[in-house]
Amino acid sequence: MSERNAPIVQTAGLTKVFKDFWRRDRVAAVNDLNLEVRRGEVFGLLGPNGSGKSTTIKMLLGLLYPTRGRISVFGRPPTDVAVKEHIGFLPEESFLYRFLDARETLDLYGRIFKQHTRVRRERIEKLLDMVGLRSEAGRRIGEYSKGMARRIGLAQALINDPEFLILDEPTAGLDPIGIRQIKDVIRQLADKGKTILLSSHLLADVEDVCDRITILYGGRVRADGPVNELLSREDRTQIISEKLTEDTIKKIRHLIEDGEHKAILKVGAPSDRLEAFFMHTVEQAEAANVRSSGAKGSGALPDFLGTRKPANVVESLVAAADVKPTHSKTIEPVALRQPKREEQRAAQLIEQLVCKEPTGPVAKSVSPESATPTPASQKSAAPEPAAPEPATPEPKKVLPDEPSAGDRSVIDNLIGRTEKRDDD
Amino acid sequence: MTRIWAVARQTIAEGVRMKVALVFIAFILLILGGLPFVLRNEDSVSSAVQTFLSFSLAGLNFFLCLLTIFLTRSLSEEIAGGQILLMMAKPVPRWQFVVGKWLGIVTINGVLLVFSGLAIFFVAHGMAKYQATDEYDKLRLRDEILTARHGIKVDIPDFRQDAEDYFNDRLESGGYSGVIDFDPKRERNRLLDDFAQIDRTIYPLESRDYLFSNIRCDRTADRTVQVRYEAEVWAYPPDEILRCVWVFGDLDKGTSQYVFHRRDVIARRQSIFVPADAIAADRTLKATLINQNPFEGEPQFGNTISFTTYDVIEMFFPVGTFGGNLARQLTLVFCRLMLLAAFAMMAACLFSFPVACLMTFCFIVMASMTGYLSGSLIHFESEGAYYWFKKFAEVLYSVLFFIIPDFSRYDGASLLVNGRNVTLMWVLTGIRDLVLIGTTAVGLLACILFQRREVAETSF
Repeated sequence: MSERNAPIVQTAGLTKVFKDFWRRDRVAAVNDLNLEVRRGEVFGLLGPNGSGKSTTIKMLLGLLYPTRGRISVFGRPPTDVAVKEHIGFLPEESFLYRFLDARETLDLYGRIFKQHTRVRRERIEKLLDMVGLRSEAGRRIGEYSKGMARRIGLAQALINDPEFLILDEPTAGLDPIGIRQIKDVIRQLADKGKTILLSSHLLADVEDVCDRITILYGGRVRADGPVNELLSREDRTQIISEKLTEDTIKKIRHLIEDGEHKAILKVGAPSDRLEAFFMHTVEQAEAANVRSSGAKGSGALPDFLGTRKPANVVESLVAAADVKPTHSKTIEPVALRQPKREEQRAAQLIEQLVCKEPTGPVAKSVSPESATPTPASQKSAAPEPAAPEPATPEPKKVLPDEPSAGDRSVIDNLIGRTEKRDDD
Repeated sequence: MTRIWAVARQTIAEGVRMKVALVFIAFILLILGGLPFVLRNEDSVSSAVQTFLSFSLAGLNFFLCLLTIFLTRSLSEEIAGGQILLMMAKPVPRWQFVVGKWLGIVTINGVLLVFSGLAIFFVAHGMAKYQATDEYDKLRLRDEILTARHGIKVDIPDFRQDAEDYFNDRLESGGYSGVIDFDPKRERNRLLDDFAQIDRTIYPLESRDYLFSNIRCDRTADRTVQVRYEAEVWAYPPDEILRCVWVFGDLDKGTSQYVFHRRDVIARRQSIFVPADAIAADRTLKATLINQNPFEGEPQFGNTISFTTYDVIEMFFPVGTFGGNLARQLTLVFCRLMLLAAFAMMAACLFSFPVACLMTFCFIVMASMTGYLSGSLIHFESEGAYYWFKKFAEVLYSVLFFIIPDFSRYDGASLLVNGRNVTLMWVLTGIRDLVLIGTTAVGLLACILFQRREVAETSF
């Protein structure tokens, strides 16, 4: 596996059972979870409330201990303090100290990372600029609105220029501008080679920024794969063009009905998404210098982020482990051990099954906004087909080469195919 | 250390901004500023100063204990409120987090203790300077209260030779020939007691010399030492006043000699302030009690003066200053607070806010009442059915007292109020027992418990 795709997080059979006061099993929040987050990707952890997203994240950070199964972050146990040097975490609520102001909050976490005073101060100011709260930095967090506290939460997550960023419901409580800024920041960080794990139940957020997603339900994986592959409708074709006359539409209809013997399901003017409309309105207001006491900001990423070489983290941690072997033990990453022959074959199939990058223009829709530079808008602008649907398709994996039945059983054994389990 | 101090800074900022510390400072100002005026009704300024010291030290101790409980509450709240999740996702080892929190609380306690100590010092001196008008009162304040004195008992004379001689004389003269079950050892001890009792009994018109030795203080005339005694008097006809003469100093050793004519109320503890130049160069002070009425025109009764033991004749001499004494006492208070903070941290690592606070409060109560509890157990009648109950209580208490130290053993407040020296050795013992052993052990336990717990799981 290439260095770029080396896993940062790996879990095998991860299970968390919460117990009650008398140590009796109460609820299995996460059940036999196999997860892999690869270097440089934006990984989405989806699921409804109570599906085990936050519990998984807490286990990744060593805040909860797994009941069963293995977990490794940068090849080390998550309780290892050295691992946390390279992690940025934005929890589901802002969980900041109410009595500190924004600058003191960032200063506290900067000190925890043992940053030099000069570096710390510099970063704090840049981060405050990024989240647009520099003018409000003297106010205590307790006085902030939820969205403002959330922005400081994001700033503290970035203070150490983390290699791996864990964002638990990052857009919760934010206004649409904030949501857009966060999404832009996520994309920009991803472009700088950061690995991001994003947990959310707001599907639009995930769809816009994630490369790969896993959907959890009841603590188990229900579906996983690259976003564009999971969402593309193989049985439909969408054509978007400049406005056409009725005459031309009629000709096209004839062409399709006669040539392909298929029906056109919908013809009409595509509507803007509300987010795009809202952003446009606010941009106009900002251009007109309308006063506001809330957060303002460019959302531009501070230049200190992404200056470290991403590939060095694992080596540095392993080197640290060599120097101080008594402090923490290195977990051998699941995929780094020498695979057996049968497994090698299966691994190739898994590669094809879930990891294959889309080659060429997979998406059949042609977006009118595809010329705009931000990757977020590039993804968000694809209009949904609104015609009546014949049947709701199951979440699926795109299989370029359908494996044989024998191969399937090997794969199923290896990764615990969820679809199969669902049928059970 | 950077991380520990970062956590400590946050704790201090929270403590200060929560205004808990502010309320505390306001209280201290109110008590320390108001007490001197409230206590004006006391019969003398010296006793007012003593009451002030006693109240303010007890109040300070109590409120700092409460403050410690309130401040450790922040750890329980962080666990319940989720701030701990963010902090523990950072590269701070858990033990450093616990130590940082503890350090923050202890720093607030320390700063408040220093300020309160300074306030107590200046208010006590201010009362002595501006409120005391009576010369005797001023002298008492200077030499008996706002000082640090060391107390010594009178030397016990050696009567072994006298007893032996008497014993031998009587043995040779056949004085014991008719005694049944004669035990020479017991007889010698009885004779020793008799000689000592005779020495401590002064019949009318008799006098007796007593010697204090190993007095380590300044021997200049402007300093005084205090001699304190409590005599039993058989007066016939009955009287309330004992009239007698005390003479201090030894002319043979070249010291000054001071004669005090006394009218003492019988069955009360008496004090005489003797100029320090009565002390001889060999660091001894000779005191002579003459059982004779020095006051002309007042009736002379046949009083017999007796001291039950030699311990009731004491002297005190200054060995340090009030400020030093106060500092040592506050250091002992600080040691107790360090242990308390460690215990409160341990409780907060395990339990949520009200439970942890209640546990800490119980710890304070137990530690303050250990003496009473063990005392009451000794006097508990264990007849019949109560026998097993007492056995059970003894085992339970012995376990509890092994864990919870007796705070009264490390409290010099009563000594300070009486101007007695809080010795450095005592303070060092306090530091060893409460900080080096107690706090380290409890803190270690807190770190281990916190290391093992899942911080994201709610505590009960």
